[in-house]
Amino acid sequence: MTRFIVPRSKLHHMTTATLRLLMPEIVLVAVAVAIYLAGAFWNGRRAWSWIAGAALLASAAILWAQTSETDAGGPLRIDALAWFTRWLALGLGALLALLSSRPLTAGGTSEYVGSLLLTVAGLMLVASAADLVLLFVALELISIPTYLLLYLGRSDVARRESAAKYFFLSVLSSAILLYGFSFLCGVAGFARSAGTPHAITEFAAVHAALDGASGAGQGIALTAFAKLAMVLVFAGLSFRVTAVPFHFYAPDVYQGTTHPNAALLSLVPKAAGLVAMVRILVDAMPAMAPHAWQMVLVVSLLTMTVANVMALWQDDFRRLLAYSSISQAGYMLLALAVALAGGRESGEWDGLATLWFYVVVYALATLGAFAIAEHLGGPNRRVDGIDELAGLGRTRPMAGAMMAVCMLSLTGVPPLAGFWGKLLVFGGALNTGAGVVGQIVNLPSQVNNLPHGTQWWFIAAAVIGVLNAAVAAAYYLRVVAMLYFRTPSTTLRPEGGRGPWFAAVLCTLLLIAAGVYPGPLLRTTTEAAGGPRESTAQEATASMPSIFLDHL
Amino acid sequence: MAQTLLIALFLPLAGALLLRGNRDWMRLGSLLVAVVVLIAAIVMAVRYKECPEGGFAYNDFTWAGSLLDVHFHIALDGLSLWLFALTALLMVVAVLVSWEAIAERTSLYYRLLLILETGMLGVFVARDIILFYVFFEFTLVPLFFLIGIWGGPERRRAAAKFFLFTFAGSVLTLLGLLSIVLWNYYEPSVDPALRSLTFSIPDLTEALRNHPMDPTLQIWVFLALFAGFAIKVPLWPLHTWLPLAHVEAPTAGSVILAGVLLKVGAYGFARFNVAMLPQATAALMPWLLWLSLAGIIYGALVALAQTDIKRLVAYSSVSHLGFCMLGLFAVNRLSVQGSVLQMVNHGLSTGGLFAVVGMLYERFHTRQIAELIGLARRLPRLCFFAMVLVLSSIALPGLNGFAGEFPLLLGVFQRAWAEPAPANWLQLRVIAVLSMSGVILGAWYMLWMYQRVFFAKRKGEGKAEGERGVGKAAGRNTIVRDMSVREMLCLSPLLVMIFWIGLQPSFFLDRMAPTLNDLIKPAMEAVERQRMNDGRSRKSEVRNASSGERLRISSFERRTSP
Repeated sequence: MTRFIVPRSKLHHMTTATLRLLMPEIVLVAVAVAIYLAGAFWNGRRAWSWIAGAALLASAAILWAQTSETDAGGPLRIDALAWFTRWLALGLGALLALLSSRPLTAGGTSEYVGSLLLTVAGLMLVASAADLVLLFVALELISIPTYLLLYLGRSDVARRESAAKYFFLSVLSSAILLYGFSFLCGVAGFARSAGTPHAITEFAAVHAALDGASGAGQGIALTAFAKLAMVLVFAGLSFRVTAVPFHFYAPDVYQGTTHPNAALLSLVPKAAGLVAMVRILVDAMPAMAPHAWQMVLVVSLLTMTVANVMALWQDDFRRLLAYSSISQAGYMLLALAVALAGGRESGEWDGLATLWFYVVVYALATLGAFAIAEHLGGPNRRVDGIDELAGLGRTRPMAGAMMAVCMLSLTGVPPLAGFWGKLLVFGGALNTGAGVVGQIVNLPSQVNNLPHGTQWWFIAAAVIGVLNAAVAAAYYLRVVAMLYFRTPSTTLRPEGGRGPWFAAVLCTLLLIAAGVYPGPLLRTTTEAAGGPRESTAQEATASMPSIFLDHL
Repeated sequence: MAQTLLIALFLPLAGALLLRGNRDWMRLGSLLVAVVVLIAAIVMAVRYKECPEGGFAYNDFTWAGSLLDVHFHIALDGLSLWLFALTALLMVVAVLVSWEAIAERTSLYYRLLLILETGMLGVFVARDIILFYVFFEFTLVPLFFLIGIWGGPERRRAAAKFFLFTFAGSVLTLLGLLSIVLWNYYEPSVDPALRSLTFSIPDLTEALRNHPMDPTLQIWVFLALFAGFAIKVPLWPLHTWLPLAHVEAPTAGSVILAGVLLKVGAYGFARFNVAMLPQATAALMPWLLWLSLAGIIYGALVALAQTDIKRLVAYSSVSHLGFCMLGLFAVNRLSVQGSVLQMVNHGLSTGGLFAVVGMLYERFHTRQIAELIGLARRLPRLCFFAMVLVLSSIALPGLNGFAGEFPLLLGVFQRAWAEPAPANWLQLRVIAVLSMSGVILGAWYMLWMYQRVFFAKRKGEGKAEGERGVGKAAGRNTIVRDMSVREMLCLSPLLVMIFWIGLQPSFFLDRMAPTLNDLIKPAMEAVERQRMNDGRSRKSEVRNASSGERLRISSFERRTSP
């Protein structure tokens, strides 16, 4: 009964206006294709990185010129989040380009650089999509070049395992995601029958369908479908975010690849996955928020706990950072759960603002750490074990200090940026749980309308979260202790080039600056979260039968 | 004056960033910075009474932007004044103690020391919860490096244990602090339209006084705060990180750790737990007193069994801090004033003793009491300085230890023998009486150690030396010089303060009393209320009691009636 019909009026939407809106992405993709082609004829080596940098600059210039926020309708939505994510993508792209500026020894530099540009364009598109098809295409625009990147980065047996593992699991997750999307289209089909002007693949149609659902008959069926879709979509995206139990690949893949690749894997797919989660769980199906937050919260707590415990035994640098990136994903999901549960109503502790703040801070620290490791390596050797960093604080004081700053920021020690991220996450969780306080003293619960008793979950989450932060301190500090308390065992010759060095300096300075004065970044992320979006759990709790809740 | 405070706070940080050069320049520069900060602290302490109510304050700009109303607000009041000055003083001592001892990576060392100073000063002056927490956590980082790089053989383990223990506790403290903020935000009596998320400590103290937190919740928040502060102090079962950290830390690290950082925990208890959660303080009082008492006696007994002087002094800290906490949790005017003064005293005497241990170690490369026998004749000056510090530590009247410990214990006894007696009067009295044993044990282990190290005669002089290795390091033939001018300069400010506080405690108590009395007022009222309730319920029991019991209680009533 679902009709895959796109209204005639929509077909005309691919006008010049839309093209102009997508110009930053188009530039990147065009340059990437040009680089692919030219690479067959010319061994440009270092030049490719410069070209990529120029493409990113050009894209940024075009984005800068597009001052107005426009809801173009159709498959595109350029709102505050899209703006923020596009700038974030360009910034990450620039840093990653710096990080991988050393030409590959085995050739294939042009393909490498081109793929990097494509993933950046993919991340930008993910944020601009208001349509399931476009969202899926954008996510694949990140995944497919990543397979290539993983294969190009190294030339030994490990890369084959790592690339193959990533490829198969990524394809599987895409399939799950697509399956979830098909259910969402089905749900949206109900809205068509109710006469919405939206195509069934648009978020707006899903939104309308769920809003229009009444409690009886059709409504219950719709809710069941929506729940199924929600779980499948979340599972598919969890792979990209590296949430437990879809995190298995990360340590193996990171270990088997290069530092720039590991940095890219721990940033771009994760950011894309989180943006997509927000788009679907918060924007497209706010009516499902009362169910969604429970799922996200449980996964978040599992993610941070499992990863932090596993990380304690790691001796490989990239493996350790893989577990670190998994555990940090747990904190990000906690912020998402807060946003879904209505934490954003109280302004100061906006879950989504926290999420984006955390993403930026995490990205800087992780990139910085990988950049230093890359800088310390060379064309023929890579820093693999943590013990290779021994005594770095003495032999290379600057590199040691920068690595220490990145690790301490990931730990959440003030006055580095990571502290504010943790403060906002835990504060948000406590704030969402604060309704409990109201119940204790018999206030009319003014905080939010979460069902009775469920706010305890957030108090528990805050406690589990801070304990996790304490556990995580153990392995981050191990790296710091290695840098400063050990006598140097091997002499590291930093042959990584100036690109990674520059990226590391930039990341470290930003971490310190945002830690000492977090105001500007906080404002930016608050604006990113403050797009035109309807509130979530509040109205939904009243209208939806909460089957999920009753089983808790 | 507010500018003086701001400069004193950030001068060390600026010094850490700007100072460069070889070892001589670094240590001279650090000394200069530390002395300037000390002078600023003295000026502020002397002129404290001129300042407006609430102390010297500097409250300027919103820090974290529009989202969170976190302010950069610093101020000195009676509680923080002397701890601030103590920090400034001990930093001079720490720089002088490190003068010769630190030979490698000196530039990093002095930078970390100065950064640590800003962190510690910041803890005491911060008047914004988040600012407080930032400084509170931040002190961990430089000390982690100081212990881990310049420490003893087990330094890596000590540094990691120190950091992880305190970090684990303090993240729970963060939750507690945020709960206070959120409670105030959602306070029902405030019109929702006028709500503002404030992080200001004075505002929150005031607000919680007007509408106290729900008693059940108070207990939970108290415990969350307790996790971090009790580890920092350390209270009895949570002290296990302390001996290792103290023993492995370089001398300056031990001086600062014992002198200042342990007080950060006690300060947190006074500033947040007692001042903001009065009912929980009253309800948990017996438990807290028992824990403090356990620390006093356990620390003293373990100190008695030590063969290593540094460990002995470390365990004596556990015991002394137990006294401070006993005084604080007894919430009595006298006991709390004594407790805060005792925090300062402990910093002076124990900081000084750690410095003495460091000086001995530099000379003999051992800290074993058995190997350091009978040094008085060879090191007469050190012997003198050590004597004053030991006597101060065991609270000899006329020295600072007595000036703090006497009102402290007096207050505890007042609390235990208050009339009408509370329901738990027996517990309180037992605690008060047992706490006296800490004084005796303290004198025992300190004087015994002093006697052995400085005055004992070696058994079988001469013969035993070569054979058993006892006293080998301190062997007669080794030429050891007595204290240098630098070392005397290092310890004499401590001696001056020890005598000053001992002879004129009013100068110090006067400046802290108004703030402290105000801070503990709600907690005192809560304890009084509880006691009155107990008394009333006992009276109602009287009516049903047997005649014999009635007799006893009526005599009690006669005593209490005016």
